[in-house]
Amino acid sequence: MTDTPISLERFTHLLDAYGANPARWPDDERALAQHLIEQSDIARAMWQQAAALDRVLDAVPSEPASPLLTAQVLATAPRRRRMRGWRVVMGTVPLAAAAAATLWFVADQRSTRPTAELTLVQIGEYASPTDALLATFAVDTSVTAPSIGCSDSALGCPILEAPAIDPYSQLPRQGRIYS
Amino acid sequence: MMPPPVDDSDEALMIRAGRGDRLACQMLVERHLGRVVNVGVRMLGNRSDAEDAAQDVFLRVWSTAPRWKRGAARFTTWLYRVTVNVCLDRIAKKREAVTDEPLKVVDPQPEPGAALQEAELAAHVNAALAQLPETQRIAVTLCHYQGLRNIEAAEIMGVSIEALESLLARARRAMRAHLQPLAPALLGGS
Repeated sequence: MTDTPISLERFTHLLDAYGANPARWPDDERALAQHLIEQSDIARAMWQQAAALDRVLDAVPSEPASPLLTAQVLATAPRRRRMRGWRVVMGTVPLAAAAAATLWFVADQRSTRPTAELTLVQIGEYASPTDALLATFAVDTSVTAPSIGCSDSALGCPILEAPAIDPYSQLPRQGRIYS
Repeated sequence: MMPPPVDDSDEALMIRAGRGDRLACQMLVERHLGRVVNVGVRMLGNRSDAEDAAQDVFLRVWSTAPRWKRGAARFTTWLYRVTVNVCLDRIAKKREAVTDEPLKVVDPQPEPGAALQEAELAAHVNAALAQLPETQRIAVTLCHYQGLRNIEAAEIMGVSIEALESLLARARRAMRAHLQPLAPALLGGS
């Protein structure tokens, strides 16, 4: 008998571990083991014994899962979250109320805008007792009254060239500087 | 124009199952519940316990599905590992509850000279399997009955290929020794 690429000892171990089905043998030893079976009567006899044990072990059937078990397992499977009736009401009523309040607020702002403009015009034309008193000293309040951004008013006005403030900055906030 | 192919791999189904996709859950159950039950039957020795274990296994599948990360693990490897662990937990609990007895499976006594019927032979094989130490039983279950490759079985069990082969060889020798007197004609005598 010539030298074999796989030892009889290793072949025996393969049969002991994996049985007679070559598909279960390690890929790199399958061809060598099959060659040994063809070449050696001893190896062939051992292989047949292993096949007999495989047949006995395979007498235990593999049965499919029962429909009842399948249904029980599926009953525990996760479901997509659906809002039930009362949850829908609980979820949508506050949203609807918020939407209605927003619409009301916007509509209200639009309806009051002309009134505000009218009021400003009326105030501009209104002459207070102070205006009348100052007028005796030839002071025209419509010119000298402080207004935002005027730095040359006789009554003074805030200096608005203060550095811009970043509301998200972590630096200490600086107050506005007035003259 | 052909629609794009749907990825129905186990891993993709797990991700869909995590989002509550019923069809994906159903496909996973159809593909794997039978295997899980069969592993349970070999490990626990009876179908009733195996079905309870299978329900536990799938509860773990469902709870893991929302967190399943593609590519982190092969689904079947993970599923078998969960199944084996669930079965080992049940065996341990049974031992604690009763005594330190090995797993008992009814081994019918054949009448002398009578040919073994198929169901009877299956009962003997189950009894031989039940008498194996747990690690050997797991190895035979995964490699012989589930047909897993040695690399995957070793990974599931957390052992080397050499250790797996050793477990398998000892298991098959022990089963042959158990079954030889009962089925000499089938095993060729000794």
